[in-house]
Amino acid sequence: MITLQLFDRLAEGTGSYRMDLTRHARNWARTIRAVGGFWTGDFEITSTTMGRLEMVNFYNTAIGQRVAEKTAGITTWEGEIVEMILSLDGVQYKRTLNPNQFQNKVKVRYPAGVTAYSEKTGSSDVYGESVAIDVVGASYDSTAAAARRDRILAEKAYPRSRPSGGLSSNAGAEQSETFLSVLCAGYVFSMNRRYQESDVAATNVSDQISTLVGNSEFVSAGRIDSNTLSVPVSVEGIPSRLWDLIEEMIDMGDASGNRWVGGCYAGREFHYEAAETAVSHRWRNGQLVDLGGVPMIPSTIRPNIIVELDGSPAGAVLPGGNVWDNPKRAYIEEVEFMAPNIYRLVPRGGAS
Amino acid sequence: MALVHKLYDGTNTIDFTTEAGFYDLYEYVPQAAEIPGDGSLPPYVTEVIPVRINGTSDDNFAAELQTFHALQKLAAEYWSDQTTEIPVWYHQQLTSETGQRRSLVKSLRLEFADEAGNWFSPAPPTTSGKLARVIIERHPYWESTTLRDLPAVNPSAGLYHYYDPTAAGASVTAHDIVGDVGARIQRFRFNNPAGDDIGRIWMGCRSANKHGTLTDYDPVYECEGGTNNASESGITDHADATASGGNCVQVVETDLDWDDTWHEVCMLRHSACGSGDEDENYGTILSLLRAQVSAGTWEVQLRYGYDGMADDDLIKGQVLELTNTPWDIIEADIHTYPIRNLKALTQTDLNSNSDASQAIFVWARRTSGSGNLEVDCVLRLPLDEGYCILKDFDTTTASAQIYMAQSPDERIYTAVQLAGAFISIASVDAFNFTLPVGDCRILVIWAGPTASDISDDFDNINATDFGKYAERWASLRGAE
Repeated sequence: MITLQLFDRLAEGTGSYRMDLTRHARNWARTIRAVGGFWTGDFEITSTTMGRLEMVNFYNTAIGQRVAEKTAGITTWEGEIVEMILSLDGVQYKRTLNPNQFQNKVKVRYPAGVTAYSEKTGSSDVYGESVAIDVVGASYDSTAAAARRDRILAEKAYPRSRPSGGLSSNAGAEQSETFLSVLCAGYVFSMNRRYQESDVAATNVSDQISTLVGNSEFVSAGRIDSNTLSVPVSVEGIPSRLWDLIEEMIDMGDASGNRWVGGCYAGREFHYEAAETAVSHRWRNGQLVDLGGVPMIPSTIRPNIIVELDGSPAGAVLPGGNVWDNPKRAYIEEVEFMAPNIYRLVPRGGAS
Repeated sequence: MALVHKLYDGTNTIDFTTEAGFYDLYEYVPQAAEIPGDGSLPPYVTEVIPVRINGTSDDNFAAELQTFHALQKLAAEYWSDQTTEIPVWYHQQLTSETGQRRSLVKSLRLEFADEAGNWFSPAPPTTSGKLARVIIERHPYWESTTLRDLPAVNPSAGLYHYYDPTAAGASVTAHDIVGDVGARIQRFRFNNPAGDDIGRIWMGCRSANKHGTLTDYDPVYECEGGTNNASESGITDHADATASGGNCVQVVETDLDWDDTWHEVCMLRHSACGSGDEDENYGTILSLLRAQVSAGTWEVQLRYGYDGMADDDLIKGQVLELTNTPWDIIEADIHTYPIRNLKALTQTDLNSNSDASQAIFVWARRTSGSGNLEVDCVLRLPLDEGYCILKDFDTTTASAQIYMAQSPDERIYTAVQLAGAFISIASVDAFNFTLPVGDCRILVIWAGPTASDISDDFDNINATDFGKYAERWASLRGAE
């Protein structure tokens, strides 16, 4: 019941529609986390549905493009293509937006100081910014640090295609299949391509999160509920990646010890709210149903739900704990979905 | 009427009925797809045809094989090469069957039999050629060899049109959709009038065979037709010429009760907002909320349950953030009507008409600013018999034509054309978008690219019968 759609890169403008990926995306699987939102997804393209030339063209052009999973018009997952591995004539080629390998705005911190940023706008205008702050040792002065910065830019400013996994010779082997492995990541990961470099005075954690979200390139503040727990942002000279910092703040919960969740969802909107505390679903006859007993459409299932487990072992409820710390209930932290209709719910404290 | 059993690409033919070439040895066992209940397409079907390949000479024998391999290549290219246009079809018609049918070929394979004899023997005579098996992987369904027209209509201005594909048109008489599985919609065309801007179209199918009297279906629940929450101040029915039905429900915040606190706005009970027919409204439905704010940000949540149900027991939908002025149509939730399990608890088991009391509850809270909320209606797009949703296009330029076309292997493509050139390509979100067999309707809802207005509409749908379709069968066609 899902459709997988491909759109242009957001950094390039309006993100126009490009193509329907549904028939090509073999084994489409993705996850959503209560802390993080739309998380990772992956699929393969084989020569069964896409010719060699078209596949090579896809590999050359699709990195960074936006992928949206739709269920009857509702966006049930959204992210960008962050890595592709093309297997062609026995050689594997890789393009990636991994911030360790793709850096188009760089500065270098050396013992006596830090260089200015240098940015390859030809790359950041297409793929968005990927900031790197490189830290070097005692042998560097300003000249050497600037040279290193420029070398990093020259090497890593574009998601270049590179052979991966080595070039192996096996002349007697059968010709290998041409296929493409595609890795997608929710836009929450794109937030880690920017840093928070300055301190912010203590204020409500929800306001801090709004500020940090506002500093990202593609994500905007959506439903940010008020959490009055007051916290500062103190980078103390060690810049933090935006999502890493936000994740830390989500994990704080609130002043009353309640759990909070947050993540990036449809339309690249970041939502932050108190974790669910009421039973919202049931697990019945091997499937998730809503409170009315209607089976859920697999692709529409979200984490941050509390599931009452029909047929769970009876037992005493131990003192303390949360509403889900009950043998008949499970708090769902992560939802794994594989098209067309397989899903797995990962409970808090359960097997991962 | 005559026996037809062949592979055909419009030019080249492998005819299994004649002794020359590939000759059916009458050991063919037909295969039929298993029709799933969820509308999904069953797996492709593999047919095996034992044949004897005859040739008048070695060279003629080779020519027969070359024709087969050319079709084999074409079928494979059609599947994997986006620029290949011509499909290979597998045709059949029983000796006395009235209609011919065809099925799209995905792949072809040829296996020579162990009993084929000496490959290098002299030229196989017509009566003792090489024994082999032709293995055809084909589409699970058969379809008609010619396309039929869909009628043209000129919808009234509004939010939606309940399109009747079985009605009469300029080149088509009124008729039910024949076949035993949904017909492939090959083409739809929408004409966009000057001054209006269509950017999103939702289409959902519904059949009389599954759902009964189609005219009893309720495409919309008007909010002003529901019951406003009397416990909160500031909720009133409000006249607005741009609202569906000329009215909406307005929430005017006066005492800050609504700031960051959820309250019910109104209850849209089926018996009040619908036609009064319950079973004709059964199905899986996408709720589309039409609403706006005067300023600030409001959040709206549709909740599903029964009149009288405790708030905590309602099934909560997505939280929708509204900052739009003017009206916009927002996809809310997929839900079922009725909620009760029809198989376990029938209507006659109950002492009361529970389906009539099922309701959509509109809840809201204001999260910033000082504006008011207006909720107009909930449009009800049927999903369970197939749907198609087109978005991300723009017809700002007047008199554009919006095309939706579907290939025999269900590749849907949509583009907007103006003066012979594409100006926009639309995204497509579709599932089993076919014409249900028998009497059927397609609910077509439309809106602007980002915000809608009551006056947006089409000049027509399928002008001069631009719409086409192909009936489909799981096995035989007969006289249909």
